[in-house]
Order: sequence, then C-alpha cells, then structure tokens
Amino acid sequence: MKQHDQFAEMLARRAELTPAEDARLTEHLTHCSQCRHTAEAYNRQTTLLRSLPEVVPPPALRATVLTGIATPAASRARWVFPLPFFAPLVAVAAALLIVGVALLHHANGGLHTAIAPVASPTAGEIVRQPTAPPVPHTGGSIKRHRPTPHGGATSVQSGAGPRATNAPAPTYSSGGNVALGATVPGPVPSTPIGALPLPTAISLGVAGRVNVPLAPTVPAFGPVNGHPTAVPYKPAVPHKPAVPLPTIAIPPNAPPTVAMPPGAPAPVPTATSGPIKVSRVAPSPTPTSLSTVTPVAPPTFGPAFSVPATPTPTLTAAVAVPAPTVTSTPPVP
Amino acid sequence: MPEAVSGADEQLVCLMNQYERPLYNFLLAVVRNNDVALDCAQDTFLRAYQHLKRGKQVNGAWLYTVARNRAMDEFRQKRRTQADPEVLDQIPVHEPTDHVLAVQSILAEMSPADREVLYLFDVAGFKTDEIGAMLGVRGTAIRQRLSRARERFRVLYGAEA
Repeated sequence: MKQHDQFAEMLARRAELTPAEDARLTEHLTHCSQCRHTAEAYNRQTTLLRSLPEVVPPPALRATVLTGIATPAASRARWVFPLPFFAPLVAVAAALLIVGVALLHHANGGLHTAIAPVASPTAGEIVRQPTAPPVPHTGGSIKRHRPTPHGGATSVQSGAGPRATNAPAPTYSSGGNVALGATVPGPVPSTPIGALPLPTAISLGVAGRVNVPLAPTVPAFGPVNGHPTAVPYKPAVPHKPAVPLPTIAIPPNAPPTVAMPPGAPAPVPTATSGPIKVSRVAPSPTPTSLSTVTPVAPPTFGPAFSVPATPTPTLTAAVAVPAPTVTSTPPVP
Repeated sequence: MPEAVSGADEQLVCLMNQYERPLYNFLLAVVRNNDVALDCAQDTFLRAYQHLKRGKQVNGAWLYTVARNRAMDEFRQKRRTQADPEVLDQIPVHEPTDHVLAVQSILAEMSPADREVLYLFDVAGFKTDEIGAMLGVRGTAIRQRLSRARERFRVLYGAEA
C-alpha cells in the first residue's frame, strides 16, 4: 500500500519526473493495474485543465494598470512615510525655528527674554511681574514675578542694553511650549513642532503688544495612517478646539491689558500645564540688537547660526546638550 | 531616473503582453470571481511596476507569487469570495461545453489551495519546487498537496460523470 502511495505521488507529478524516476514508474505500471487506472485519471485531469478555454482579460485590466503607473500618487497610496525616523529631525528643526524666531524678536523688540521649551503642551497661563497689578482676565491667570535664574533648558538672554522706556517689564507665561522669561527645563528636540505656540504670536516690543495663545495646541505629530510617531502626544487635558488668539496689549507705561475675542472660551490653567514665561530681566531704554549668536555646545539640534552683525551690543547664545542653553553676554560697550 | 522609469514602463508592457492572460486566468481559477481576479491582477502588475522601478527583476514566478498572495488575502478577509451559487455564471466561457462546465464545477468545489496547485502545475507549467518557492513551503509539501488535489479531482470528476 505504501508503495502505491509512493507511485501515486509520482504519477501526480509525472511531468517533472527525472528519466530514471519515469522509467521506474513505467516499469511499475506494467504490472500494477491500480496505478494504471490512476495514471489514466491523472492524465485526463491534465487534459481537461489544459483544455479549459482561456478567458480574455477585460480591457479594464490593462487600462487601469497603465493609468496607475501614469499617476504615481495612486500607486504609492499604500506607502507610509517613515515619520518616526524623521521625527527627531523635525523636532530639532522646530527647536531651531523657535530659537531663531525668538532671537529675531529680541533683535526687533529689545527685550531681555529667555526662551525655553516646555514639556507639556497644555492650557495657557499668563504670569506677570509683581511690579504691575494683575490684569483681570476671563481666562488664564495673569501674574507678575521676577525672573529667577534657572538652569537647564534653552535660555536666551539679551544683554543689559538700555531701554527706550522704563515701563514695567511684564513677564508672561503661557501654556504653550515656548517660555519667554525664566527658563523651564525641557529637552528641545522632544518638543513637538505642532505644540509650539508660534513665537510670532508673542511680540514683546516697546509698545508691548503681546499675543499669547491661551488654548492648548495640537501637535502636528500624530498617528499617520495608523503608525505611531516618535513623539507621542499625550495632552494633560482633553483637547479643545483652537480658539482665536487673544491679544494682550501692553502700553509702554501702563499696566498691560488683555483683550479676549468675544466668545472665546476661557483657558483653564492646570497644575500640569507647562508654563511659558516671558519676562523682562531689566529695563532697557533702547532695544537690544542682536549681533552674533555663537553656539558653544555641541549643537545636536542643528548647525550653528548667526545673525548679521550690528554695531552693538553683542548677544552670544550658548546651546547645551542635553539641556541646551543659549545665553547672552552683556553688550560690549 | 526618467530613463529607469521609462525602462520600467517598457518592461511592464512586455510583462503584460506575456502574462496578462495566463495570470488573469490563474486568478480566475483560484478566486472564481471576475471582479476579484481583476483587482488582484491589477495590483499584481502595479506592484511589479514598483518593483521594476527599484531596479529589481520581475519574472513569471514573481508575478504568480504576488498574484497568489493577493488572492489569498481576499480569501482571508473573505471580502468577496463568499460562496456564491451563481459563481459559475460569472466565469466567462466563450463556448461552454459539457466537459468545460464539469471541470468548472469541480474546481468550484475544490479548495483554493488545491485549485492553485493544480493550475500552477498542469496549466501554468511550474514544477513543484517552484510552486513551493512561490507559496513559501517545501517542495515535498507541494507534492503531497498536488497528489491530494488530484485524488480530490478524480473523485469529483467520477461523481460528475
């Protein structure tokens, strides 16, 4: 019986048998009627299968394929961009962008500020120095405080240049990822770019016009086609839809006022919210101009950059890793 | 890169000229559904084009492997391969003779695994080791499957007769 099974298996694939195997099988068939019947049945199967009429493919097959290769986007629809691989680069670029834009604002506004990313992109909080009374605000709290030296995260401090006005220097802190003022520990590369309130919304010029986003922002990173990114977004509070940016207008010699757009929901500061602090270190009559920025630490999040030089004063930024800092030196007289 | 893309275009057209009909018939024999066979064939050739654009080689075995895996995906997801009593009517046969209808009926009753190995061996002309490489199994397993499929066909054909 075992021998019949072996020859049946050989009969099933007789087309690929070696000459030696075929000769052995043929010799067996001469004296085994059961295997001869099996061989006849299998030969009939092959004949039947090969005699099946070929179906002409519909023209849509070729047309669709040729159309598909003519439109590469359609054929690449299933390909997923390897975002986790580029996530650190994007984070570094975001950090550089923030520092660059903040330095640009320094050059334009002449404020002594420090920039640091905040780890938690949560609801906003506005903190002011105690030299000015808190401004009533329907949403976030506004306080004043004196900037205290902090270690750790990125900080950019301008020189003690003269100011154009002696108005009280307010310090603002928002719930975004950019802190202007006292530094807040937080790794720069881990800051999601989407979670950063754009520094353009914080304009601390002499006129003191401040736009601070008071609602948590949603980072640009997120699951892309189901693939988790390297920068997971875990909001401390449930995400709320973005609201129009309120405008905080600060007159030069008056306590700043906060103007909220009508209908905007009041931001609720939370204990877990990472404060964004915008502070004026010292009054300066004239705006501080940024001349040079020299990274002194290994710039893991980007190459060195510089700003076109102006006569005075000089600002030197120091970037430290893993807790990068960008510090400035007093202006050169 | 435009030259490579152009070369890929030409190679794809050559592949389609050679394998469009047999591959479609193979898929039709396996999935027993015109729409599914069409989609599988289209995906197979589009994947072949992407493969060619990366400078890799595509041959008949590669096409049958991709087409077969694509067809098995359909079976796993059971999207459009549910049992259909009118499935035979969906197979376009130009001259449906008695034996053609009988064979179609037998193939419809066989499992997709038996159908594909029978078709690949008897019609497409692949060897059992080649089919094993396509399906990711050993050639001995394919030989056993082929023997089992032939016995199944034999029984069903006897019943049809």
